[in-house]
Amino acid sequence: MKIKISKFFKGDRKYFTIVFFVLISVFFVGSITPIIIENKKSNWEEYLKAEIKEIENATIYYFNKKEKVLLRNKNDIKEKLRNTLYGSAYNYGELISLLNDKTYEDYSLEVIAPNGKIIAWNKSIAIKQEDIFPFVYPIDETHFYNKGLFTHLTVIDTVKIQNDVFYLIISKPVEKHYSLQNQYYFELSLKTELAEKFKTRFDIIYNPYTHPSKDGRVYSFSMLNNKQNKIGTVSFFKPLLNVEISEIKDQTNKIQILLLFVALLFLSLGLRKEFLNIKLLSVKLLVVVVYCSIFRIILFWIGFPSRFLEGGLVDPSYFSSTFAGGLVKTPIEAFITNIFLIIIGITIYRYVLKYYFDLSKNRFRLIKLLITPFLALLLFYTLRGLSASIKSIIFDSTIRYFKEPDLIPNFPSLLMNLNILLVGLSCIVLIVALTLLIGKFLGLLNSKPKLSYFLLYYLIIQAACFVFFQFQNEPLITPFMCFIFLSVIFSLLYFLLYKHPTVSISLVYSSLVAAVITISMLNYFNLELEQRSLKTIANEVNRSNKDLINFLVDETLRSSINNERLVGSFYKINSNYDAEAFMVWSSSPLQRESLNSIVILLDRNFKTLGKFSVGYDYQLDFRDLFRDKISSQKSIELVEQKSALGSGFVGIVPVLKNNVVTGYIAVAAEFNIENLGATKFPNFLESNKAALGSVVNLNLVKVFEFINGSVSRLHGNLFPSKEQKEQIFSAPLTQFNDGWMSLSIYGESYLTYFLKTTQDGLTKYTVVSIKEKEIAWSLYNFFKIFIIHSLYILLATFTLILFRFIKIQYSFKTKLLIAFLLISIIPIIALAVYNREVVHERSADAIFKELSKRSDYLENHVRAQIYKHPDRNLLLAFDNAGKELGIAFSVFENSNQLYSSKEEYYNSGLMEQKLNPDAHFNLNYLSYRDFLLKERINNYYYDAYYRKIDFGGTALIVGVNDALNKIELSYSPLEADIFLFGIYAFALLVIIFVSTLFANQISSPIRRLTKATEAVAQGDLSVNLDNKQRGELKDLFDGFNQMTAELQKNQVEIAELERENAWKEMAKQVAHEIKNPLTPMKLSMQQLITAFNDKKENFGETLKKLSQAVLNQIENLNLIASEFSSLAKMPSLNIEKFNMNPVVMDTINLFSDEKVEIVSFVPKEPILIEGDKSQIRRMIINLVRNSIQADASRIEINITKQKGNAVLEISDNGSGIPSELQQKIFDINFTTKDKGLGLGLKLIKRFLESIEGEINLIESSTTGTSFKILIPIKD
Amino acid sequence: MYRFYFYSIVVICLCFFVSSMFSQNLNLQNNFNSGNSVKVEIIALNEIEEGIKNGDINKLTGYFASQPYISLLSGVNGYYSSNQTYYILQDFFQNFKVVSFKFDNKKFEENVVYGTGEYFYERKGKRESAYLYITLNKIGNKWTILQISIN
Repeated sequence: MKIKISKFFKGDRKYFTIVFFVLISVFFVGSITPIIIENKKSNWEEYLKAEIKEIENATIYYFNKKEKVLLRNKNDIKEKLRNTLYGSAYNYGELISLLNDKTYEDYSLEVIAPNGKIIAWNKSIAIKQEDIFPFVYPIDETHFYNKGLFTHLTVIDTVKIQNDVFYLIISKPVEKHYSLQNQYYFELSLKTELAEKFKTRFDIIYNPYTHPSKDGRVYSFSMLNNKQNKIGTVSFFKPLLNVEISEIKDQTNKIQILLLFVALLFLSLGLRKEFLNIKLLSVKLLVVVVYCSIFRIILFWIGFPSRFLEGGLVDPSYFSSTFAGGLVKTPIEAFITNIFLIIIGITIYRYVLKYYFDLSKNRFRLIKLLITPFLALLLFYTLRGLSASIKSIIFDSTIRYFKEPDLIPNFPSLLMNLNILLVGLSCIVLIVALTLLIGKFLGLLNSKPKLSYFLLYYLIIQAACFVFFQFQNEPLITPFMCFIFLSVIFSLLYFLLYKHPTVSISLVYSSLVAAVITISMLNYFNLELEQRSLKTIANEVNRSNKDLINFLVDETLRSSINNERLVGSFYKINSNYDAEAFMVWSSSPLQRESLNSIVILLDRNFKTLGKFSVGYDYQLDFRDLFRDKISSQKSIELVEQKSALGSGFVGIVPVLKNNVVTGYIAVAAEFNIENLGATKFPNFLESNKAALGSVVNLNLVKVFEFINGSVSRLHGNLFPSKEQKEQIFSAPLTQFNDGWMSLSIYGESYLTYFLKTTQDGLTKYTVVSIKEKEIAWSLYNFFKIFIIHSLYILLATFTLILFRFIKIQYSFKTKLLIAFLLISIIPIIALAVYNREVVHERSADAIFKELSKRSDYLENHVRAQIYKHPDRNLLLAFDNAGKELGIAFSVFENSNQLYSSKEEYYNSGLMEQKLNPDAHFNLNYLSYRDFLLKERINNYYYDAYYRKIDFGGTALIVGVNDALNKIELSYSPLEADIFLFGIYAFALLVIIFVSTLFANQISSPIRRLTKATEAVAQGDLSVNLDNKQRGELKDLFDGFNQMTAELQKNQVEIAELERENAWKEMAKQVAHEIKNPLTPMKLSMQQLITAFNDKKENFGETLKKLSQAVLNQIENLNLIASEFSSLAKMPSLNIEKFNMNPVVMDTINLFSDEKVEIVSFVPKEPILIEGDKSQIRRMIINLVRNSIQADASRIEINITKQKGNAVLEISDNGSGIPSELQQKIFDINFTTKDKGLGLGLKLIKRFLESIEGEINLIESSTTGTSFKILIPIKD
Repeated sequence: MYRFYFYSIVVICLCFFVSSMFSQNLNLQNNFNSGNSVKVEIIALNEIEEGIKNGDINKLTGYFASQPYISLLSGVNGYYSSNQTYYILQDFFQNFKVVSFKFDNKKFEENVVYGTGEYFYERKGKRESAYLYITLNKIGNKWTILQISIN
């Protein structure tokens, strides 16, 4: 039975069976889905109860786990604190080190002395000094601490040291109450964690005095702490039936998609054999193209793999193109499409190579010649297609490849880089394949092209491309770029034709060429994008009009008044209103649009409770602004505010409690052309999705706005002259009322875009300019992407090596290469590391100097004020200094903040009001004068400089940082990293290339000598090394050649001598053997004569007897003659059964260093024959040597199975055998060589006949010769 | 038996092929062929309203400027090419399924049209609303969407 089943599923049938059952499963899954849904519907009540209970228990378990980690860390720190604080060995430095240990960086730690003062803390402070006492919760009981921007899970414990009681407060943030749209922000939310875990919306009120929600859709339960006391209320939306049903549908759909994908894969395996049986390469190619296209379309239709992914990879805002109806609509879809493209590209490339080097007769020459123009068109359109793809990758994407902030960018960007490389590689291999085909069809390229023909062909293609370029309506790249790209492609072609690398190695080189070409294109189109961004800037200036500002202010107020937490804060007495204002701002479109704006919370008498502003410096008198407008209704009121730089709106909405106004929420925003692109915003607040993106540096852009011919607004430090105005207004407009021009400003050319619009009956000109030299090709950009592409290529190369597509032999050459690489790479890496260190140190020095300089200005300014006005309050002096110098800074007394010029950042809790513990320790304890360290907000790291200054007997610490004071370095450390790594990556590639070249050249003679020695060992004494060496190697080669010549000569002499000796010996033996019968014969004859002479009576009887004796001896002589005849036959063969494939391959390998390319097509499955291995080897050597001596540069050896025979075909492109001699080649003594014996082919034929095989000359002409050998297979 | 498997597979594949064809958006190929040049801004705004109400991105495609500004609830914010805009909005309409929509405020100027309205949507079984703001600009003879904000 088992055998029957295994027989039934033998071969492809098993794959089709799997496909069949998988498809049945697809239908099965589809048909049981309604049953599952029905079941869910009917048991919904029970299911709901169980599900709610499960979510509740799992939530409690999840929270308890977090709580346990907190308590474990608390106990750990407590233990360490005891050791640190105990006894006379107490060291404050150790205490600071303990609290600032990396293990606890996610926690807030505070140590309170017995006198109630905070004595040590780490980089974040959860509970401020004034809020610590009295304790709200008992000691060692976890609870939530809600204040400002975070909610912390906190526990307080005591640490007893002798008679003193210290307190340890450890807090872990569980909820961040604000969000920013930029790359530095990271979310921290227990609610979100739970929502993602349980797939339903969660709400947690971090307050013990709350009641369960009365909303019927919501389930609430109490959150208990480690002492089983309530500390909060958790509510979650009960699972909904329709959501559950759509979830089931979605899941079953995904299962079906996966099953279909599996079915498609097995279908491919099932059809593999049929595919391999196709003989014609063109049909095979067609099948691959059609199959890949269908497979890709089916994957797209079923939504694989997009349906299974989330995030950037499936986000069309990263990249999406409408090419091919959506096949590249997201980065992942583009990747899948590119995988299929690369399969098609490589298949075409491989088949074309196979066809190109096929030595059979070139047929249908005329047809081939006729289709070359179409192939040339296809080639040029492929180049254009590549350009169009790269252009789309730049223009249909928000990824700014050259402006990514990190050396290794985020995942979608990495994937898009891979897409660029893949699309480049597939186009390059296609172009190479087409170039080879056209060259072959034109007769200019062949397997052994002359260099002059190759150069001629290169010129023809360049000329044709130029003509093609002239006929394009909208050429995407310049003729010069075309010329360079084709030159690079022809260099690759030269390498392929003259160096004969394997397909895998040629693909690695093609990848490098693809990287260089695509990055150059990327750079070029990026310049176009930068130019076009001037148009976007003009649109942005026009977009941000009063209607939009009105809408944004209105929207912010509308969402604020519906914010329960915010409204609730008006009823509390100790709310942090600055933090509340920041939370409103951060979640509003004002942050998203990075607009100059302010959020103010006012009490019922319009007194400011708290505020947060960015770039908005106007003083607002709300009572005056909204006189007669404010009612006791919950309505939003807006008024327009115009300024010299922009237009804005101020809005207000009352906060009501029982229809009584308890306060107001006010919002103001303006579009200030000076802050275009949020250039004045601190980086950690700026929206990374700001409208203008980061195409060009907006600090370099000049914007002029003219209304009715007069300048109304400006961005940048230039004012247009009369001539420039005239030049702008007289420039021709397109049908879209815009245009481009080159504007000369102070002798420099500015690329300028202008847009004419009408607004409120006024004619408006928006003019955007940038220096032309700012938009230029940059090597820095090239290297930034080249690093990533190099990594991909290296990774692919290692994979090819790992899977043995590229074989590495630990030969002399490899050792030499490794030695070269080690010698050159180690200093390069050392230099790179050193340079990086130097650049980083210099950057740190530059930042230190800049911040220190700002501190100097502040110090001098404040000292000057005190000197001039001795009675001036220090706080006023600081305020004046900040405003007049435009420097943001803070002042600390001991460790507490005394003053800050940007107090909203500190009051809101975004920045710490407590002095950084490291700065505190170094300045207050170790008495350093100044100190520079890194601080962070979310994931934004900045440099903070602190200096201790004595102002009239008051020792204060001034803090200046580069988060609130933008410092422009000529080269940022990241830019330097990219540049350095780019240069060194390039240097490494050059080193690898040059080292390979040298290692190859140095080891080549040794390898040739080794192979020649192996050939001699195999009995091939005709080997002769072509000697173009110099020095010792020349002597060595000469010696070797002399040795083989001598050996060959000796061999002939020895053979002759042996033959002579053999003859002599044989003659002796023959004589001896003949003598033996001759004696009795002689005696018989003598007896017979005597009997005759004596006339004996019985002479007849004697005659009969003696004649018989003579005849017997004659028979003996005959036997002796036969035996000698047998002795002269061929030496006996050592017949055995073996796999001929490795024997052939090993023999071919002997010629690896000859100036001939031997291409072998040997099947993977063994071919068993019966014969003599050494004779087979000798046969191959003989045939290959004949081909080499006939000037062949390429030999093809092909082994196949045919009707029970192993067929060995050997073809070359040598000078061939003249037709009149073809009949004689198997005759003995036939040779065309000067030194030939004429035995080779005769011996081969005789050997093959002895094992029932045969050899035939298939064809021979001046273009080559082909032999076919048949040997019976013995399975 | 072998033939049976083979033909079964062919039939099943055909079934999938046909069913997939019906489930696909047949207008996909025509997305960008729309050369609809609406001259009257009111009709344009009405058609856009209709498109948003039905979550039909194809009705909006003809009005996209070469680089409209989009700001959406999903976090998308910025200038995108018309190609990107198509798929970004398609994604948005799929994830934030519109329940109802109507412009409650329209403003017409010589070359600019503004509209705002409340966008009611369903997401993961829950209904919520957001405010939509749209700006159309007359470029040549054609009205094009310069900005869509749904926040």
